[in-house]
Amino acid sequence: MNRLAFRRNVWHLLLIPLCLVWIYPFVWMVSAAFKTPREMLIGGLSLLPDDATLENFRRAWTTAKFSTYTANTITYSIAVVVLVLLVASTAGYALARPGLPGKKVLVGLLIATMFIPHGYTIIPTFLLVNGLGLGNGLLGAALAQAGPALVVPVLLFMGFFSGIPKELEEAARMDGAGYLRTYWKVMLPLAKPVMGTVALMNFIGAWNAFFIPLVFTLGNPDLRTLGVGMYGFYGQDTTDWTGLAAAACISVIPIVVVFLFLQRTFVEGIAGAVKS
Amino acid sequence: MKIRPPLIALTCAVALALSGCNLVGGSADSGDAGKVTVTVALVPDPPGASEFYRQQFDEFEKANPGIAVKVLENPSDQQLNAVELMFQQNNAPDIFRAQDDGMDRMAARGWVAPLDEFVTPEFLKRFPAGSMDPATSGLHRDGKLMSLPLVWGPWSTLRVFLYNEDLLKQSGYDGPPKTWTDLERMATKVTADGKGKYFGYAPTAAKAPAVEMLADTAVPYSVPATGIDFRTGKPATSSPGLVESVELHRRMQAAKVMMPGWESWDGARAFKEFAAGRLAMYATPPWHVAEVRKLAPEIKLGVTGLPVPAAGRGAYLPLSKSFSPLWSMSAKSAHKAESWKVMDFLASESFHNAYYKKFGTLTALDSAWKAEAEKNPDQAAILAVAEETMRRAPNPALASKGGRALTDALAAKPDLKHTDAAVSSIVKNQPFGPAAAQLDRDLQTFLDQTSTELKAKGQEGSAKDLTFAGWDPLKDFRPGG
Amino acid sequence: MTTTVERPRAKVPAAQRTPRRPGRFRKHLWSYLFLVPMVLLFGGFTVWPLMASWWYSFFDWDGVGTPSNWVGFANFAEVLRADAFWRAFWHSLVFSLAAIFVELPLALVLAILLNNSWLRFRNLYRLVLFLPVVATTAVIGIVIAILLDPAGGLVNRILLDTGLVDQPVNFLGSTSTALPTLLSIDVWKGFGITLIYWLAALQTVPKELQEAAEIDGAGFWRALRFVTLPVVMPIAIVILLLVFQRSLNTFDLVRAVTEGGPDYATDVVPTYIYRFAFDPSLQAPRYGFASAAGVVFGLLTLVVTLLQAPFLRRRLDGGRR
Repeated sequence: MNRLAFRRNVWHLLLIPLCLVWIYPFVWMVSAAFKTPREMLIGGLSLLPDDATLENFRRAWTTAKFSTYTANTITYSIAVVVLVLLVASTAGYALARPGLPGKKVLVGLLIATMFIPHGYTIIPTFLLVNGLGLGNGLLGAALAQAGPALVVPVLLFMGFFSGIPKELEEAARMDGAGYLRTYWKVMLPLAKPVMGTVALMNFIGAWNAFFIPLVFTLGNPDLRTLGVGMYGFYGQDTTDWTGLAAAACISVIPIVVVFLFLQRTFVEGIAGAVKS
Repeated sequence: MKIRPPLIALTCAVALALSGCNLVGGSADSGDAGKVTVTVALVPDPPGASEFYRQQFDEFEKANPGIAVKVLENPSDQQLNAVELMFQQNNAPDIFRAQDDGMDRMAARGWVAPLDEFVTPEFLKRFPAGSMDPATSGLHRDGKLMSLPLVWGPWSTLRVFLYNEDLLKQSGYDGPPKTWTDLERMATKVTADGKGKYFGYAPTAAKAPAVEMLADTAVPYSVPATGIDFRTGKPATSSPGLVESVELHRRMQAAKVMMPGWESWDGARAFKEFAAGRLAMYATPPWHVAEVRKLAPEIKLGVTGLPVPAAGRGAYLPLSKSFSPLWSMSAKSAHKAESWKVMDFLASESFHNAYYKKFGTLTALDSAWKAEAEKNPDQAAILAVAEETMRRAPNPALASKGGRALTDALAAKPDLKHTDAAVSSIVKNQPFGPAAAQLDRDLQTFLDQTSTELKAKGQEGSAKDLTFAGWDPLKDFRPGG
Repeated sequence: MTTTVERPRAKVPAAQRTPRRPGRFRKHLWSYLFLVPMVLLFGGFTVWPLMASWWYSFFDWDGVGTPSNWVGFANFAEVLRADAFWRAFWHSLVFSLAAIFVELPLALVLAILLNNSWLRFRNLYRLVLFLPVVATTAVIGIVIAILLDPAGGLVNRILLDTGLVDQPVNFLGSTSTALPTLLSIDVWKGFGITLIYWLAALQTVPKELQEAAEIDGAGFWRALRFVTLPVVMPIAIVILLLVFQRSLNTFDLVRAVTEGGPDYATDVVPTYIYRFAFDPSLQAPRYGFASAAGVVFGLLTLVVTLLQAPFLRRRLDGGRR
């Protein structure tokens, strides 16, 4: 047993140095948020600021308009995540049904579009959303963000659902559960790891999104998100690096919270489910 | 979906409550009754400009109670795209920032309103004498005033040479290099003395823009800028002056004189290295001076003219127009009179003085800052260099329609410019001559092809439009003379 | 291609063996209903813009109004003839090779390690490995530039002090080291994403199986090969596609760190297209050309993907047996 414990702890000898190196640039970014521009750009490499200042955070708060944009960003990101989860999980479930006519074509099309760049102009999307009358709100932006992001989640859900043992579903059906019920009560709860992953990735994507929230709020700048606000630090030739670093630190916090929260979905395998 | 529904629901509720009915959106805010809202689409340049513009417009609103100014800010590199989409959405701003070619792009779509009906003689008097001549102002198209400037005329084409007096002194030099030969010799010595702690010279950024800056002292500005010699209308990339400028850098690179790593520098890196005391000399646009000062207030910074070829100066830096376009009014604005009031404010002495004070940029109305700038050693030096090393130069884009068509076509072909071949030659240590000759052949083919195409479409545009036979690059150019 | 993620046929009859009351039609009806939202969104926001961009690629168009200047295949001819495009394509391909052969397996190994409930602090490790993903790319660009600076950067200082090199390495400035350096940074930045996907995939492995493998001392590699991989294979293929696609579209990082330089040694297709079609210094954007370059790029990568398809299919079938 001792040998086993030793063998297990040996891994830390590998992981700790790896993580220290890994996180160094990130820590540097955090420390830059407390430095003066002079120290960040031409000072040494020290991680500890000589003369720590909170001025960057004050500037970040006003320049990136955190106070007005945070609520928009939360709304937008949650809308995107909910849209993607619902649409992708239903589609993935349907596509995992055996023998569904037309499935091959659809899956082939999905995969093929992964590789063909989605147009280099936003104009078709813009026309569509405008035509739906959603051109100046976050819902239009959320649709435009969620739409192209669907392919991978659909494939992930499909892969996951088709890997679930058939016995499970049949048992549910024996109990008299219909299609909808089986999906909602049996299958979806099992798919937590995939849901967690999809939610996390799309949350990050939406949280940092820049182009779509910009284009779909042109007439209504009060609806913009932080991803757009961050560009307040870039002038034409110069950049307010310490302000940007501070803003980056603030805006990373919600993502870390979401990460820690969703991380639980990665620890529960489907073991228990199979037994019951 | 057992991912803590209560928590998500709560977050949703809070977010929705905070952002109102943001999801569906609605009409843009209607503003106060009886007030006219003027929308200004601008960019947050330089960093910190958002707050500055808001303060300025607040003051404007105080002085003009009937007008509310709504600022719409776009990221610098998305401004044109965003404004274009707004026009297509029938939601155009009344005033927008569109610089240089960007203004032409907007004007070509018929979206820019001519300003002549609003301009008064008093208004024109604010600008330096003669600078608003429709033929050379840079702001007029087909004789109509299409834009108002923000920065000082020479600012966009002026190039200065920065040197660190202390570092030069440590190698026994009392002043900056006067010629390219001096530059090479001094840079070599300084780099050697620096022993890896500091370096003599760097070509400013990854694309080695210093090649073009130095070449501007040897050959007409059009040669490095477009590949064409505007005295003859012929490709001239293989002019000895330009080739020697590349070769100078190639030699310094091969001898490891230049600061290592410049090959991946962005445009804002050189002033950081200089301010850190790790780079002794470089050539640059004038805005670097203020950036160096911000980072290193006490540094012994020298600002002077670019070194010239050993055989003597062959050309001056070009003053090819009085101003660069920046503020334009939308042709679709429903409140042109009120919009003009805002534009009039943006071209007022008080605004220009405030801008100068806040950012240290020399602005278009030199009366707003001249007295103060002459007391500031850095800015005084910039003014002196401009006076000394710039001369009026012909500008085909302003001279004729055909000239505009051809310069536009050339601008869309960056691969015909010397830049990439020059960088390649410097980092790979290959002679530039053969590459330059090849570029000239390609350029000639392209010119012929473009002229033929333009002719087929019944438009003007031939080598004649790029030719200014009487021009002496060592003298001020007078159109027609 | 279309069959890569398909279920083996042998299973189909098993499902058909239970023709319940409503019958097959009803069952498929539900499935089609479930597909409706996805098809609508996919059609509107993926297929339609894609068709539009194919259409635009036949025009000389600057992005405003209706395209009218039909140029046929001229844009395509220009792309295919451009050496710079092929150079960029090769670099993009190298990026994807690095992602597939370095990032993908490494992330799997770490995911397996970090999936063990006996490993203490595993949540912390996961967070640390994930953080680069959410670090703002532009800021990372400047941090990297400072760390790798040949004149006094931390990395070079360490290399010199330990005697590993006697001349500072010009990581980003030399045409020979810039691409490998950028590849490493890209792997660092994207590693967390792949790790998370692998972790999700590993949750499909029933615990009993894992424990059984551990108890009978099957050994790591045997357990991986005969227990883990077969179970995660359907998702693994999606992850592979995902990593492949993401690496082909590397853009922000290249822009932030080298802007494609030096001498285009790190130019990739997305930066190539950006430079030729959208650079703000251009008089007018060339959307037609950009679309054509995008279409060519897409078709080329599709071919590369199709070349992998038979292999993937074999792995899938092998996994299922």
